Amino acid sequence: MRVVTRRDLLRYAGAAAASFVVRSSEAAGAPTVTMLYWNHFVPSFIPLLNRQVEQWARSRGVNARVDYISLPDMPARLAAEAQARTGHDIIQLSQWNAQLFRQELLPVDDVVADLDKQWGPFREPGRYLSFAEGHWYAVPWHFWSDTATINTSYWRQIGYATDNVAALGWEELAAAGARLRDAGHPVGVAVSQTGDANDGLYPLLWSFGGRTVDERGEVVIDSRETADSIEFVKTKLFPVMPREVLGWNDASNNQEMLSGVISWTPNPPSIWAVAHLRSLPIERDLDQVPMPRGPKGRFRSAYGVGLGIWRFSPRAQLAKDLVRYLLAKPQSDQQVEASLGYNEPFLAQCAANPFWKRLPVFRYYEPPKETVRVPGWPGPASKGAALTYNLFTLPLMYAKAVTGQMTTSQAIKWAEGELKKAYGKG
Amino acid sequence: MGPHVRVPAPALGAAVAAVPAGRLRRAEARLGYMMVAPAVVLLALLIAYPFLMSLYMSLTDQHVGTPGRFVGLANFGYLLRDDVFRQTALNSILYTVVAVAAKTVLGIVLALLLYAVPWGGRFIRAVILLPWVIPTALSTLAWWWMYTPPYSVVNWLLVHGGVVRGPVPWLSDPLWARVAIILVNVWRGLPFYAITILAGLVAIPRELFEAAEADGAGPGVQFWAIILPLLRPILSIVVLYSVVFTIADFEIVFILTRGGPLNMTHLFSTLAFQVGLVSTYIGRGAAITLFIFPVLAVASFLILRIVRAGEEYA
Amino acid sequence: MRKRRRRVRVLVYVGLLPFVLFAVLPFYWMAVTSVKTDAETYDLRAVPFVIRHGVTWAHYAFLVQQTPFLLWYRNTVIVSLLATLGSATVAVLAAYSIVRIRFPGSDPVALGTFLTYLVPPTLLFVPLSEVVGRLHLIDSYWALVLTYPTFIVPLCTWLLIGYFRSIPTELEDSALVDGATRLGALVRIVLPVAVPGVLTTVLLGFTLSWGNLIYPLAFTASTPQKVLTVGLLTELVRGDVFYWGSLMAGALLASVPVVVAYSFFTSYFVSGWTAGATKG
Repeated sequence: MRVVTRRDLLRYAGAAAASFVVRSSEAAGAPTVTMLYWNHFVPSFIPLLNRQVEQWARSRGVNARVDYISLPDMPARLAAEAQARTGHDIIQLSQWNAQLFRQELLPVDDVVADLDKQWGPFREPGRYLSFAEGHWYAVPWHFWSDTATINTSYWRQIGYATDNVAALGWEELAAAGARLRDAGHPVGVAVSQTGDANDGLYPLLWSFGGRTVDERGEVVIDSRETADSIEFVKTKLFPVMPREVLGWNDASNNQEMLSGVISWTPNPPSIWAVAHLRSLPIERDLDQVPMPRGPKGRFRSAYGVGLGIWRFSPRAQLAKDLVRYLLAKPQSDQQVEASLGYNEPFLAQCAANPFWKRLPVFRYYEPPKETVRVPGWPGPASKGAALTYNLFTLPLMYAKAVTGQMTTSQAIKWAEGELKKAYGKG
Repeated sequence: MGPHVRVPAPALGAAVAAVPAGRLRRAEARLGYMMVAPAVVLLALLIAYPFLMSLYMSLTDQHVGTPGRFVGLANFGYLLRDDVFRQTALNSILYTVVAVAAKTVLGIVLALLLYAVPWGGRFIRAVILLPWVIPTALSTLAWWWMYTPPYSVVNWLLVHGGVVRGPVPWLSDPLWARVAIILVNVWRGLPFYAITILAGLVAIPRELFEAAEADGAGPGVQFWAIILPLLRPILSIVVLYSVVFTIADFEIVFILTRGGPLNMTHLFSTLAFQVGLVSTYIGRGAAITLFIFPVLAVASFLILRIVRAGEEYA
Repeated sequence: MRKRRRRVRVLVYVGLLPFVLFAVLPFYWMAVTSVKTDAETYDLRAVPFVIRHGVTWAHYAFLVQQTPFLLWYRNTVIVSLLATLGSATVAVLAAYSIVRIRFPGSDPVALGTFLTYLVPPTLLFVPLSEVVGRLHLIDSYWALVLTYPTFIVPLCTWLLIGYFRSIPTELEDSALVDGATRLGALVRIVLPVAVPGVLTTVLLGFTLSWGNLIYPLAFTASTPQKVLTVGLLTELVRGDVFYWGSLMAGALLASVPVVVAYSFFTSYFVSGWTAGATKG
């Protein structure tokens, strides 16, 4: 069973320090293709990416370099580059950024077609995020998504095996949550102004049949289904959770899980990965299960990463070539391993990777049992969705209702107003 | 940040008397322009020009990466009707008023203590200065960690010290979150107040104290009748500068709460960052930051008045 | 009488104690976390202030060996020194000419300088990124050397104006009468006397440069171009994973030069401040 060992990590990491600073010196005077990517938290991924990029560069007789930036800083960075019309050739376009920056991006239909033919098809929500008005503005690379990380020992205490937990619906989860709370290990999902809150509550809303907008972007949040979901959170789920969830940030649930405080939380695999990488004793108690079923389906929230090329990049052809290279299956397979299974490729054939079968903790991560969607679905993946997400409209709606600041219908009406403003309808 | 208050100072002599005449004066003026030119060019290019750009942007519906259309005061109108913005304005005022008041009171107390310290003053002053010296972006991370449940050191201390029964929800409760950020702001800014006020204390001629003691005035009377009035110019300057910088604060709120919970800790600059860059509404983001401007204008007017008034005594 | 004075003295120290503890607590906590094992840090039953399960240097090792921490250190030193020295020079020249030469328009210039100081960086950094882009300095720490003076120069100029005003003109006047040039007078007569004030401004400028976050956030992206503040934040907080031990280690190490500078120059700082404050 080839799990990344600490020694591997040290080896990777040693190369990382060097590769951060070394620029390919062989092809002096040749163009340098630059790429912007996020600071992946799995230490082994970055040196692998650097290596792959360098291999490609050497084979083409050019230079290439990847720069890393923290995820929250990405929007500012992209904004600055778009504004100044200078920056990296290839940029990571997460979520709605492909459509937000559409006007400054080079259409990449040809690259998408090539990859589709070789390794396709592209899974959803790849096309949803990257395709608009007849063109592809990003090449969907990989995503990560929120299953629920659980502490199996606490669930066992109340008589649930992992596969039982995997079959739970929301109502049953809340009921079990009450017992877990009494045992001192509550469940927790963020109801605060943070990404985790969006990523946990959108699937909840969807699974109750609620939608923020419809396919055309019309605001449809005011519905019986939405009200049902709010009532559920207000009367069944929130009371069994620690009150702190109202102030959680993205790392809060990780830390509470790693310290044995909570027993269930929606999150990408970072919790398990950290326990594994830092050899924390709690690792053996961690597992991942699908998000709970609702009356109208079972959903999971995804964070999509695509690669785009600025329209003003003088090295567009080279950039496209690098993108093709990085998304090809041989490279993709290495990336899945090096990211500890965190990165789920959009290309179907790349997603057929035995890695996730090898580690039991990933058996529910890939392939997903839930319907994988991006917040803002089914409306267009652009400005309105981004604004709503970044202003945390949905979590705020729930927060206002559960804290009693507003009644359920008031909260819905408030959210409706905010959504209309975001989608430019009022 | 710079207190240059004019307390009655010895006459400065023939400052103006030696004015050279005619051609010499023009040559000097030329030299003067040349010496001042680098500063002027720098400030024009890197502050004035971008500031004007910002003003223009606030009047457009510009989004990142797309040119904007002129929309007049639409952004401002929107903001004034927007709940989140109104809450932010309230937060900013509350944050500034409370933090500045706390720093003023505590600053005076600390300055008095430092003034009275008989031994080890230099060392203590150096220690007290640490919060101000360490980059806010880094010390605030320490505070985040200090506030984070379930690891909160602050809570550990409070609970084990018997002050509270259960952990305080520092960052998840609107009230406590505000207390938390104000606390960090006070922690960071207090040394500056204290050292500056201390400088003002040191400047008070000892004779005044001795005369007061001879007249039988106790420490309380000395404080209210001598210290406070003579500190007033320095205090005013420090307070006004502090108001300007506290209301434009960004790092503390950004790192600790990102404006939450429920937008209860957003300040103008964090909201502007969120709206202008994260949500790419640059035009509206610029408009938000411009609301700081009235405060700047009033504060600068007052500062100038105090400095000029001080000048008249010189 | 002596007893009362001793009691007052004790009270002063007692009064100072909470302030000192308040100031120091976060740093102590930083230090402890930076050498504690992850297992103990995440163990809620452990006492936070003590280390029971061994001191580990792994966080420091990770920081120094597996992140470009030392490179950022170098960058920060370069940027801070250059920006500060450049700004101080510009400020000294400007302040001196405003105060001594009093050319026509010197008052509006002084006022303008003061006003520019009040424009906050969060207002400026988006339009500034366009300026920086046009100068092709985006993603280079030279952009910081260029833009840091925007907050150093106004502050320093204003401080130095006050400070120079407090220096009597007799010294220069006699030199001028003896045939010295204005610049000569500045360099040879005024500056040596003005060391405390100038040092204060240099120190302030250095501190502000060292700890700035927003401009590096906006203008640099490549790892090798980063300075300490933005480097630590972006490389040790990844998604929802915090590298607390290394973060605290980095914060401590990053604070060392500023603390050292202050410890050497505290006396200058206080006297320069005092002069600027009372005679400005």
